[in-house]
Amino acid sequence: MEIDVFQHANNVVKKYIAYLTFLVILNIAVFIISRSYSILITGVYGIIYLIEAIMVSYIIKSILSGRVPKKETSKSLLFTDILCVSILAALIFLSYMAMSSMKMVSEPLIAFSTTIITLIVTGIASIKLEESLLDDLPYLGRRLGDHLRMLLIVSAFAAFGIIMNVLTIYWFEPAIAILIAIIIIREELYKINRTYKGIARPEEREAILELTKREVLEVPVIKDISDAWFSIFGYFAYGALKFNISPIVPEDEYPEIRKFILKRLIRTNPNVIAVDLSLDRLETDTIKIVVSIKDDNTIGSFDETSKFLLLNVSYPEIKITKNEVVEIEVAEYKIIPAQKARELALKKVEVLLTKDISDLARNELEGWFIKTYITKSNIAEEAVKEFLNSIKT
Amino acid sequence: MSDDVLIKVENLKKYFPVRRFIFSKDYVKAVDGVTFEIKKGETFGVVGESGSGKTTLGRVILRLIEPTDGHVYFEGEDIFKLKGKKLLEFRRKAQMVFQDPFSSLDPRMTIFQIIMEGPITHGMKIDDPEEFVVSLLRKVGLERVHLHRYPHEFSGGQKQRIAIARALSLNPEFIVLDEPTSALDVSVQAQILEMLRDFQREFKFTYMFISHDLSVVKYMSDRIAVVYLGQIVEITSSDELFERPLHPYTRILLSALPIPDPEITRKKKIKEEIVGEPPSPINPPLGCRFHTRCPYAMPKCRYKEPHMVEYEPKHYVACWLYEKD
Amino acid sequence: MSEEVDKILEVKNLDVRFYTYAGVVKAISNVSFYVKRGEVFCLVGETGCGKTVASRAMTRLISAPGKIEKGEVIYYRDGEKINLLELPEEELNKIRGFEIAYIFQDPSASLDPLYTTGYQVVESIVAHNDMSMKEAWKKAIDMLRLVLIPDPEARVKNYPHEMSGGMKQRIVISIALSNNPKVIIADEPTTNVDVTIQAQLLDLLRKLREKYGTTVILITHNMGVVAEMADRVAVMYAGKIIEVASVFEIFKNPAHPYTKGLLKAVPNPLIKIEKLVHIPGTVPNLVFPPPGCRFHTRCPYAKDICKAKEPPKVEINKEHYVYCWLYAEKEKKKEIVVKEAKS
Repeated sequence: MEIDVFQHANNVVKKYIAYLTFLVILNIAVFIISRSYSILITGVYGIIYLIEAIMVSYIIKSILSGRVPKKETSKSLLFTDILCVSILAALIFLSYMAMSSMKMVSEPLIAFSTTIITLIVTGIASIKLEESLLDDLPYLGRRLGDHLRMLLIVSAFAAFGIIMNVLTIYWFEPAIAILIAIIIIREELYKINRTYKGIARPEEREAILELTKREVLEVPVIKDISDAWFSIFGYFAYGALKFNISPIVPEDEYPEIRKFILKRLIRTNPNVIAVDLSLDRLETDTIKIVVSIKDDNTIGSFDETSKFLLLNVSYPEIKITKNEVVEIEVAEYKIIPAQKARELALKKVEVLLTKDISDLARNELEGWFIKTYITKSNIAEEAVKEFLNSIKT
Repeated sequence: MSDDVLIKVENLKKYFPVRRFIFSKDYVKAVDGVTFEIKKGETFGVVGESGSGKTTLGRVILRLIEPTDGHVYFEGEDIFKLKGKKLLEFRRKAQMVFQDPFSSLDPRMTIFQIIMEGPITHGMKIDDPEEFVVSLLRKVGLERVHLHRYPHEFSGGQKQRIAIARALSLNPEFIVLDEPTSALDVSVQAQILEMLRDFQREFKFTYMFISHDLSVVKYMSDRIAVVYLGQIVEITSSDELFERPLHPYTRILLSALPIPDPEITRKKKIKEEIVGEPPSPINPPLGCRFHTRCPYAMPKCRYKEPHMVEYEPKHYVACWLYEKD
Repeated sequence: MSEEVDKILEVKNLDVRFYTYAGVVKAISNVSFYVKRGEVFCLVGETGCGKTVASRAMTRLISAPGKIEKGEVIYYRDGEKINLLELPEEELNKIRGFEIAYIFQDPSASLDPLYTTGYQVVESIVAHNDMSMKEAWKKAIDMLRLVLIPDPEARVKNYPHEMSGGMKQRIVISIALSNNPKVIIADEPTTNVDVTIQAQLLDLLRKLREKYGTTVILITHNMGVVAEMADRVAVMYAGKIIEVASVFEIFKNPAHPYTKGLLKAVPNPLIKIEKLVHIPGTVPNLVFPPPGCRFHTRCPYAKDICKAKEPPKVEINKEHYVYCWLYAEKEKKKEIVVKEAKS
């Protein structure tokens, strides 16, 4: 499923790149014809976003194919942002010079139409892009949409500047160019700050990990995380997580677990654009099994008993390494079967063996990815042996 | 649609846009996929806290607001497709009594004008308008002398009676009562509620009774729908809701409800611990909307939305405790 | 011979009038009751009964056109008896907000929108305590934690408009509690919040009462809240106290016809009710209140004496008082029987 989410995101980013490329070429070409500085700077703005988008696409593709895009990616983004700020500073200087030259923009009609075309294209594209990412990666969609909307605003300014220029208020157009450049520089400085902080300080990366760990490791069959890292990239983050799964879980249930992890990860860390998520079956592990017992050796019905036999079973030896009886008392005002199941889940139980169980309790256990097996035998020892034999195979 | 069903609501949605940026909106998902039926002659209670969307639901059902998605069928017809005369006819048959008696009556119209406004708009032929309005006023416990007075001259309870008289003037079949007694004192509330029940018996009205006060809803309703953050979490008969509440939110509501009997309320049967505040309807939680406050929440609840299932006969609930995947 | 009751506040013959264009409104007339130390005392009644006026009059919070005509409000502090109505303003200000704290219905009205909530708690702490700002901020965060506000370190920096109603009410409670008041007067504190938030707030008040032994005077019109919270209840009607009893007595053996009527009008969801019975008629005009018992115009048992003379206070059970001629008669009859037995 995550292949779909990020694949889809990449497709959308590619469309975005296409829109931007078109707009950049249009604006730069029209600058050459008309010498309109505000159109030039709009084009430069587009280039900045284009570079970011290409890098984002690169990151997503790498993660999807299991390769790790290095930290250098963030560093290169930092470098390009700083470069762009310098270029913009230079352009501000040039525009300032142009202000005093008192010239009309050449081919004002073409220049004006370009701004209008840019306006329309960015408007439509922003709506479509954001909509198509709304369900999966809404933050990415919103960012890209906002980028396009900034281009829209900037083009609107440019259009206004050109109209003023045609009405012989010549200095207005380069002045707008300077204004636009300042807007871009401000945004760039913010992005530079974020990327720098992301590289230099680990807090944010660690926060992502902590949040994910805390929630995901609540599930008993998800044993722990190994090989987890995240990188901050401008507005976004990407990384890889490897989870170790209890050997008791059949592989055909991995997709569902993966779906859970991914959805929660994206929800709690919305700036994540690509994650290499792998679930690894543990070769050696301790499996926690619980049996609902009526007394010492008889299996009881889950709903009616409050005594449980907790077993630690080593894998792959399939030997019982620990053995204790616990009482689960539940306040009578609770939905007792559900609460009992919940208490067991909090004890990190992975499998329940019982004589019978209500739907309620079973549903609660299932919600924790815990399996319930109805035993054939009434004797606890036998039932456990039977179950252990079945997992040996 | 079977004969005794008056209203059928199917996957009704109402989103209110909240402007964020040009061409970019967030949505307040006030009503997000609501499905239920109301039978002829019954009182269907809708209970929920603030932000649950129950008021919006009442308005969309009467087409006072256009929906974002979904259908509402009144006597078999899709009300959002009605036009012209048929729409007018629907509006006559489906009336509303609002929560705030202070703002639902036009302060610049006399009582006579307020009550006649409906019949005039619908072109009803009335031989003697004054007698007509007086008989309505008498029905709600007011007098002829009140005919040409203005709303500000009346108390809250009297204003609400006028609002009810106004609803009655069109001889409706279905009335949405949106918190009709929330702003009134206990004794006045009792009067109004009994009056509403008498009218229902006499004129065979169908009511949709919306309120946040579960005690009042229970008293008035045959069946109750519990709403949380734009979705219905449980529907069943009012007795069953109190005897066997299934959804954890319903249980919490019942636990929080102060019962006017100290012997009972201090030894409550259900005492679920109530945690947290209702989340924002702009960015509701992923999966089951209630999971952030649910004492039984499991990892599954955090990423998958449960569906409405008929767990017991005529008892519907949307919760992973009661639904198999 | 009655046992010594540990009173903390006692209202005697309190009379408050409002001088308005419509006339002189006799908001509360000859109101007397006492509140025991450490209990939850509920003042119940419908709109206009005078419960809010009475609660505010207790610390002279009545401003023009209102005037406290007569009466005493005795505050029992460390063996001393202080009449709050006769204290100089300076002294009263030291008690009001400090030893006797208020919580009102609308938290938005109690919180200044221009200052952060943390600042407002600190303000209250610093006003009554000799603390540095730093210490006060620390205490403010602790207070927020005490009232179960999640993430208090962040919340102290929030402005009131950034918080929900339930949160704001908790801030108000924490301000009220910041100086360890002996008495909290809460006027409809949960009327504007949802039922689940109401349950949390009431639970909080209960827990705080258990922990600190604070006396709570709770004003409400919700009989469910009364049943949930009260130790003793005083029912008011048309500016007069008409019945006082323990909460169990009030619900099990309501004596006054108004109390009975009120209870019959409340829908109890746990029992099968055929019909809600309402009290016919309307609340009387307090500019020209009816003579005698103010309830006689709506009372199904009204007799001639009720229309002429105001009923006396009758003790019908241990600490169960009612102001009604129905029981006064019995009292008189009892006296006659006793006299006859003696002679």
